[in-house]
Amino acid sequence: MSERTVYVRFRESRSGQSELRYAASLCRRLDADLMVIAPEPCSSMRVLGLADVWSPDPLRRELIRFASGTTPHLPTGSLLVGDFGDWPKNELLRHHRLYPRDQEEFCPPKTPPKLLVPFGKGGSGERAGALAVSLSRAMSDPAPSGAGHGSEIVFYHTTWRNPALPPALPRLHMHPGSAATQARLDELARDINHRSRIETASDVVSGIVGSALAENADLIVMARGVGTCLGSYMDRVLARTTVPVIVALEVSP
Amino acid sequence: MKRNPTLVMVAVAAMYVIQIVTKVGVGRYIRSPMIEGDGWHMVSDLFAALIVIGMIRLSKVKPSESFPFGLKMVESLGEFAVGLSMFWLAFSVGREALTGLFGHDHSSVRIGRPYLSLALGATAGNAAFSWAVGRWQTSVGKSSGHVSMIADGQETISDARIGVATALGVVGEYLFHAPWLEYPFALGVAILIVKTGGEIFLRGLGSLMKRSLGAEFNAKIREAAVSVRGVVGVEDLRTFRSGGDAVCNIKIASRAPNCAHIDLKNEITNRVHERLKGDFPKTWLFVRFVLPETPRRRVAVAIREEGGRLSVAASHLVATRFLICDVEDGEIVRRKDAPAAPDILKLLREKRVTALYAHDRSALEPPKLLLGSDIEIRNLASADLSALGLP
Repeated sequence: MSERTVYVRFRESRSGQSELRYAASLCRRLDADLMVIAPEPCSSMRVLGLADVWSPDPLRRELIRFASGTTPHLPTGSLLVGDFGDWPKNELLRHHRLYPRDQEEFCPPKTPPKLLVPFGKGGSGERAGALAVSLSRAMSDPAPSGAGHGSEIVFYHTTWRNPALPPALPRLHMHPGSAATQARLDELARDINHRSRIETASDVVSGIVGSALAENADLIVMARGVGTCLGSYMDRVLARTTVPVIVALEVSP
Repeated sequence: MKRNPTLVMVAVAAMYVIQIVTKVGVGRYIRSPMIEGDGWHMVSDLFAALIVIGMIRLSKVKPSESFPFGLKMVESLGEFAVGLSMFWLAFSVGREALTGLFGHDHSSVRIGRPYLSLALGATAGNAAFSWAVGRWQTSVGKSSGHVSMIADGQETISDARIGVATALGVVGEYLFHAPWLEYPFALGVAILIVKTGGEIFLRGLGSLMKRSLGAEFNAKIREAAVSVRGVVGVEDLRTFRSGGDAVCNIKIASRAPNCAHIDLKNEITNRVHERLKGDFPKTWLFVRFVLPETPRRRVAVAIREEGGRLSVAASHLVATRFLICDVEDGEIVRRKDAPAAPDILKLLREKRVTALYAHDRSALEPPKLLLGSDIEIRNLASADLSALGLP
């Protein structure tokens, strides 16, 4: 991430206030600033006065700032939380987008966050892995407020079953390219608590979504694969999961 | 043999045959009606064991269109029957004890040194045997989920208690020459049998009447369901036992899209199984999804139109029109324009509006009521309609 700021848009609706609550909860874990992007004119005092958004664990007010305008220019690699669907696509692709999927809390208090990173033999898994490691380090840092609680990364891979091999050992079914990606991810996360979960699920999306629930993951970290013409796993996971998803930026910062 | 319920029950039946022969034989020989009566009572236990074997076989019938849960419920019928038979047993033992205590001629009972070991073997020995077999039976019944076997095992343990009471009577008679001593003990045992029989009877009856699994299990199921991300709450939960199986019908409140329901259902099923597996070897879970029930309301947004640009008015008094919006689950799902009328209150009442939104930058005070009405005035954070999710 380019800086420790989380951006969220202000909306009066229930889903908008859920996003605000989720973003505030994420800021607490990252010890990050919260930038509320609100339409002009906006009463920032009124936003801060929304007791049901900020209670019972309020974010320190000095961490909350306000930006006006519908598409303020943000530094590349910013972390956007919630619905920014009406922003220009080129602008969106420059940032990490986090979809809270109706959740209001990043992870339960006093529990280490768990990130699930699906990977295959392509480069998207490594890009997602790099973002997960960066987030994990930010959360593990001993922040001045004591927000760091450590975290865990689960690298997830599911593969088509090879009928000639025993089904009980999914690792044997892995494509060599995926095994190489796994080795690179292990190296990338060598100083972070991590492990791999390898399966031969009935289909990739069910595997990712089911594992995220079974692992009690707080966040699925993904990146859009290059060259998929139809049926991107990322889009299908986003349509189906109830676990928040963060999508890595698509241009290098 | 160790874990095969049918074979265990065959061993139990064999034990009953041995006990009938020894107790009736010894009872007649030493002229103890308590020991002999206990032996005859075991004939009914033998039949009960054979019926339990039949129930175990029936309960293994696979679910079909006619019997969607299989024939597991027959085991609850078994529990019910064992409970009833234990009431009968307690009544017989109690009656025998009272008759013996107040009317029987005890002088004919032979408990001299030559007969002591024989009497103790038939009572204490068989009691130890019954206790061990009863424990084995309940343990295998629990692990295999056969509740009729568990009930029969508890009945076998009750037999052991009767044996202990009789043995204490035999010892008392030998030491103190008080042949009536076994009867008060037997009376105590009869009370214990009523208690155990009552529990088994009520459990079987509860299952036949589709009684809930109980607050403790229902709480575990609720906790398992709401621990899954995407579940807002449990709207309704109905549980009952079908033999040794648990059946749960659960209505989940969730905002997840329909395509996510299968994943949520799988995870809820896994977590419920995990929490109940110690008590129920199999859980049938039926999950339905509904949107969280939230109050629907109608609100009005005061709008000011200036130079073709729409914004939220600072107050209803300066509004040029109103947006009448239906709000469901905190989101505006329908809106309609209404031009500002001279009598605003009448307009809002006609539209059944419960809250009026305006944007006053200087105002921070909590909601107040529109003069002379119960309509709340709420101050929005922004004059921009996009903050309300409106174009």
